[in-house]
Amino acid sequence: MDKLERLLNLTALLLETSRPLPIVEIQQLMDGYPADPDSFRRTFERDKRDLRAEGIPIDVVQIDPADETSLGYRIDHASYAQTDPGLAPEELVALRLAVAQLRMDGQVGLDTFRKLGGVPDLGTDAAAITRLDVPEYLRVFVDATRERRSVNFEYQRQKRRMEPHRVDHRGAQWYVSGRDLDRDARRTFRLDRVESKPECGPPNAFVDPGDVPGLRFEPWRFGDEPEQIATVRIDADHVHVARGRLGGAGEWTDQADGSALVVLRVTDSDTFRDLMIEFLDHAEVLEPLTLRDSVLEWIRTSVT
Amino acid sequence: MDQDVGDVSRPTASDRLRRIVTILPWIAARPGVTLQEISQQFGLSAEDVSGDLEVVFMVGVPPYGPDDLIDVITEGDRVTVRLGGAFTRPLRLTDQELLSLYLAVRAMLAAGAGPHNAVLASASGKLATALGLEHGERITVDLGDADPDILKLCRGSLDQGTQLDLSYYSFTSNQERQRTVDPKAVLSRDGHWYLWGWCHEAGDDRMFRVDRIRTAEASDRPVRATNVGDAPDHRPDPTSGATVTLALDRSVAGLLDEYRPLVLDDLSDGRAVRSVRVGGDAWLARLMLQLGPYVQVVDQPDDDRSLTPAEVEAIVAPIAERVIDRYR
Repeated sequence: MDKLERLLNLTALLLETSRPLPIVEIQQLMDGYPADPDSFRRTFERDKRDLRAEGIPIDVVQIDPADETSLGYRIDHASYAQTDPGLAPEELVALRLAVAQLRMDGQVGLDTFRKLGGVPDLGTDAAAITRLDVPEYLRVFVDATRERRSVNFEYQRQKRRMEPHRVDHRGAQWYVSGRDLDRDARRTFRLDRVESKPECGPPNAFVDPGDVPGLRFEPWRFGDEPEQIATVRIDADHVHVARGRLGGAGEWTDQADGSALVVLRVTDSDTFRDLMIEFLDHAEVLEPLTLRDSVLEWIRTSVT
Repeated sequence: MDQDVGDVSRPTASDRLRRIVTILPWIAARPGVTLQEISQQFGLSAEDVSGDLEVVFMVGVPPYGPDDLIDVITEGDRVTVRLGGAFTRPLRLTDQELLSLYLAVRAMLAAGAGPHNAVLASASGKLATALGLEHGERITVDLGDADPDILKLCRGSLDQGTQLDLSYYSFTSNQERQRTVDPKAVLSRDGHWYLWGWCHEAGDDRMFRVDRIRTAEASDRPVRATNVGDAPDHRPDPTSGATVTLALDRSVAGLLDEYRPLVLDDLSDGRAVRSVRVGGDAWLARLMLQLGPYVQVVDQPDDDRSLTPAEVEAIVAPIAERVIDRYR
């Protein structure tokens, strides 16, 4: 009997059994497994692993409460089959188009749509607009945010503990923001720099943070310096570029001559200086004077 | 690795298993369905479908008597499948699949790009429910900041095949110029929206960052017929144009990675050496001023493309002087 047939028969057996089946019984009941106990065991373990890799949930149950070694196997119907999300045909077409336009084929394949009942071929209308990746640990952080679990992980070779409040995709990166438990401060972490599988604590470990503001992509606020309130003047002909660069950050006041003042909160003055250099001669730090002087001084020493 | 590995084009047992358990409930629910309908529904060849049904025919539960096996009745082109208890419902989506679908919908809604926004919004609600998320709760997908009106004008001209007149700030030259563009695509790269198109002033294809377009005006002049092809990389080609070779502290060498540098041998004092394509005068000035004391230009007399320290200085000094003047 070939492997495909054996995998299908094993799935059918474990789905239809009315009680968890011990491994010896599986060997006796099914055709196609080797008679030798060792090679049977190896083949069975591999089949089990292959089925699980396909998302088929095989449960291991202790049969005799007094005997820890009395294990039985079965597949729970409810967790095998899906709770139908109830997507309409036109929603499936829109989803298929979205997945193609976002080049998500690596994560959502034809099989995904087959599980949802299949969806006809797209025409040529699916020019890619970008590539959206879903990193391995994203789901863990999304769930921890919802269930209010604290999370531990390795980040740039440091152990970090946090209460995750929200997850955002921005600038082609995924970020998780929340309270850093060791620093007792708000922090944002980039998911591609999380180096170990995140470990979650028990649910409801923190109070619902309420309405959490979206990730403000302001790296000059990620430092540990005492906060400085910086006022920057942006030239009239550069206001649209600077607004695009700041992406909604800062408090803006338009001036009568078309220029604008923007107020930024700075806790990382090096990163703030990089931002000012990006604007070149189209902008100027007005206040505080210490920050203004340090930007000027840095540029002076850089060219001499 | 399993014995199935070998010919990469041949599906493995796992691939076929996944296919069979997903298509079987659909077929069983439609007695007398044609092979052609099945292949169309699932994007499979008729041979694949017949091959799968031949395997299904052998599947069942112990003791594998005629009544224990899945019934596959073929009449001409028509198929009827009768299942026992197993395989009556499709295998569930994995968490990763469900989350990916949800994020795809959220991204498209945020992009505002599709003609299907109402459909996407209702799909988003259903997927959020299936995931156990409240709709829109604490997860956002942002493909780029741009003035929605300008983005809309770009997409409108693209759809209508008409030229667009822009006032565009070039980051690399630090100047605003008028451009006439034949739009070819509107794309998101590294978190920014770009208009890709033929630039009449440059006489070449260009990527324009949408948030650097100050004004855009739609015209009714049709674009020249062109072959669209694939959008280029939005970063300058590292294999042509002037380069600069820099010695940097190891701690900041990574800052150059986004410019796809050529990695050269370290200096004897441990500093890293990288050669990068110069994006333009203003680009070079920003880089040199930001890295300040952490960077030094390395002379590469044997490399015609590499700027000398004096050449770099001649570019950077006047720009730095203008910034310093601003503060006087």
